[in-house]
Amino acid sequence: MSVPILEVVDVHAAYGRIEVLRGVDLRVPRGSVMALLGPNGGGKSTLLKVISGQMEVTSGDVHLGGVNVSGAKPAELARLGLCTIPEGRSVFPNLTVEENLLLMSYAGVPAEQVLETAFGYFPRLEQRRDQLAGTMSGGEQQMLAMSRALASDPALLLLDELSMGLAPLIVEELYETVGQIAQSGVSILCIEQFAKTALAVSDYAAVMVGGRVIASGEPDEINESMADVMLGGAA
Amino acid sequence: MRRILATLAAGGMTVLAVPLLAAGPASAEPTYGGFQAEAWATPVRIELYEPTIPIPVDPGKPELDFNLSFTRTRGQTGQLSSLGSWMWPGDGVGQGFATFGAELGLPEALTADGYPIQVNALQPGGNGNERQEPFPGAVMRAQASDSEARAQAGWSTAGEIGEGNGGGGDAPGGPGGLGDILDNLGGLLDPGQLGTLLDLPLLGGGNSAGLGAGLSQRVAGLATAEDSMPGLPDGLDLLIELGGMSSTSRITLGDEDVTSVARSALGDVSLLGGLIKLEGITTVARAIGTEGDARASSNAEVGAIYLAGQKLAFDDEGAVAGGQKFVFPGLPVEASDALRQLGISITLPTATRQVDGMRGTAASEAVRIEIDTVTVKSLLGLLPLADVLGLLPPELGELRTLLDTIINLGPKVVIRLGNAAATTETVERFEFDFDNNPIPEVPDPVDSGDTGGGDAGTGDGGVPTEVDLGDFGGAGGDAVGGVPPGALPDNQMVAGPGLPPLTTIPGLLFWGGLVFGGLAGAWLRRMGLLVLGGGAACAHGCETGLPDLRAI
Repeated sequence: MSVPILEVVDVHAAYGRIEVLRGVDLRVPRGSVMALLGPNGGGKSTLLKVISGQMEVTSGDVHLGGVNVSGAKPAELARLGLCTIPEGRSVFPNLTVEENLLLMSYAGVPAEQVLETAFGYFPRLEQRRDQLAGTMSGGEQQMLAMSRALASDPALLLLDELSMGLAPLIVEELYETVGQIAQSGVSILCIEQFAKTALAVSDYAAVMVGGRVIASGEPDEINESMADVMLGGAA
Repeated sequence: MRRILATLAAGGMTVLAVPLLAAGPASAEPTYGGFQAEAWATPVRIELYEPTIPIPVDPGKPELDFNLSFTRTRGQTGQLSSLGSWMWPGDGVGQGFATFGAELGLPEALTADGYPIQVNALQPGGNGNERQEPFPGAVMRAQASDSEARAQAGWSTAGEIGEGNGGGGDAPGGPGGLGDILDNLGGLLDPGQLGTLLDLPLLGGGNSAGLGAGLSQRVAGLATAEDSMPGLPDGLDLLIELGGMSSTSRITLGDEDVTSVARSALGDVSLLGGLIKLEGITTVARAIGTEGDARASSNAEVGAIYLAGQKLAFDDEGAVAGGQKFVFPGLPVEASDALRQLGISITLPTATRQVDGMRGTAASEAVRIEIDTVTVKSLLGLLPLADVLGLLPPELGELRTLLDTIINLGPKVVIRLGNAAATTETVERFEFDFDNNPIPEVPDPVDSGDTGGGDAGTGDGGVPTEVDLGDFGGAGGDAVGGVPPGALPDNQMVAGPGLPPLTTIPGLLFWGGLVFGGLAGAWLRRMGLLVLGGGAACAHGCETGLPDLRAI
């Protein structure tokens, strides 16, 4: 059995005295897409913060490529190939699309290659390369955010609520791109509330409720028993 | 350069100005060192004693009390405060109004600002003047300054809340004497008519040179006198004034004394600008604290009549007129007995005055009516009330429960008419005589090298300005500067030697020990982690570090 690119072992985390993660175990095989599903407040985004080094665990370990990275800083993990697209997109609204992308060449990827990769996945961005990012639609901003992440040549991509605030058609288009990215060998952990869309492109899925992963498996298994799993876990 | 000069000039001016501003107007220091005073008054106080009321109170205190036209001034060294309220529900409810509102489920907006029927003044640290006079005749004022706190509350058709002369004498506030009456009458009569009135024998007109001399000035001033109080339209309030009820409380800080005065008046009726004035119940309490013994005085009067400034008063012993007292029949014994059978008793309490050193306390209460409803309730028990309540339809079950509860209560109600109390306590001024009691200097630890000598002190009986520690160790050492070693001041005995100098052997040992302790602690921590497993790379057997995910 190959070493998973991400392994979370019995992770506990808390905001002050409120424990949000209560022993999370999760494995993301290399080159796969893992959909982490669950209702609001289940601890999904907190787990993402822990994995990306933005939040310290109270106990437990996070392994990347079989190496314990507990205590590593977000910048160090980003240089290693861990890239996070946070909830809310976070593009620079007063910079053009091209300027937003060129800022990501810090990772050592040539500027031309950054633009080529971005426009290859999202041709619409090329049409708007001189447009201020803040004036674009939500879906286009999400495309730009994903393009910026891809410009850093990630090995593990963490997507937080990709579909938030977007029209269903745009969401489907974005997840098609996610599937294309996964085919390029990038491992992806995507957090999503809308299960159907995420499961369509996922290799594995897990359901998180109340700070614990209560079910994991193939997307079909999770899809069939989604309601029972979530309600049972919530109970 | 110019900026630097400007800064220096501004700084210099500030340095010069601050002492001048800080000095302020020259004020004489009071002869007392500090004080504590309180004065409160209320014409009507209703107390309800019912243990089932869920309000925690001390034993013997009423669960609820309502004070009409309540005023209170409080003060202690450095701060004066005053409070006035037309209806004060006691400190428990008045000051904890928000809490009671929350318990009763009242909207927070109604109770968030506290009990609404009150004015407060606080100096320093608060508002120095607050008043509510929503319509003529209703006065609620609170004032506080550096030297005086005053509160007034009451109802009067003239809007006049009389101060009385409580601050100056024992007598309650009356019409204020002939001069004040003349002032009032000036609004009705022209100067010519007033001069004719003053010639009447009743007022002693024409026989008093002093009065005649001052008359022209007073009459001239009457035309321009302004009434600062809200009240009835000019002229009408001079014909009749129904005083209603009022109270005033005041604390005045003087250079030599602190005076607290409380006065309550109930049922004032003033006719013809005060020419005839009836006062139902008036009480005054006054306490003065001075450097010597305190003074206290109090008085309660019932049914006073003022006729042209002459007092005709009635109390429980008789009548007082022209300074002479006449025996007057009291309440018939038969009537008292009849009321007592109904649980009602009426008493005329005596005013109290107490002086204990520099603390003076005075209290007055004119009439006390006690109604013990337990007696009445026993009479009600003869009635078939339970049967009557049982006839109520089931739909009115809550009402029946409420009525059943009420008829089973047996509260005691005490109505106190004319309440005034004043307390003042001062303390002596304390001044330390630095000339004859200089503070000894703290010994210099460097001088401690002379540990075995035992030098003799100066022995001249004076207090030393420098202490040689060598004297502590010397068995044969004489008294230091005339003070025996066993009687050294505390500040000398607690003075420690401090840290040893770095260059000495004790210093090296001290600092070296600190460094050694730090190194040993770090080593022990590392060894402990290794022994207990904390030093392992990962609890799950993984390496620790930062892998290159792209190379995996």
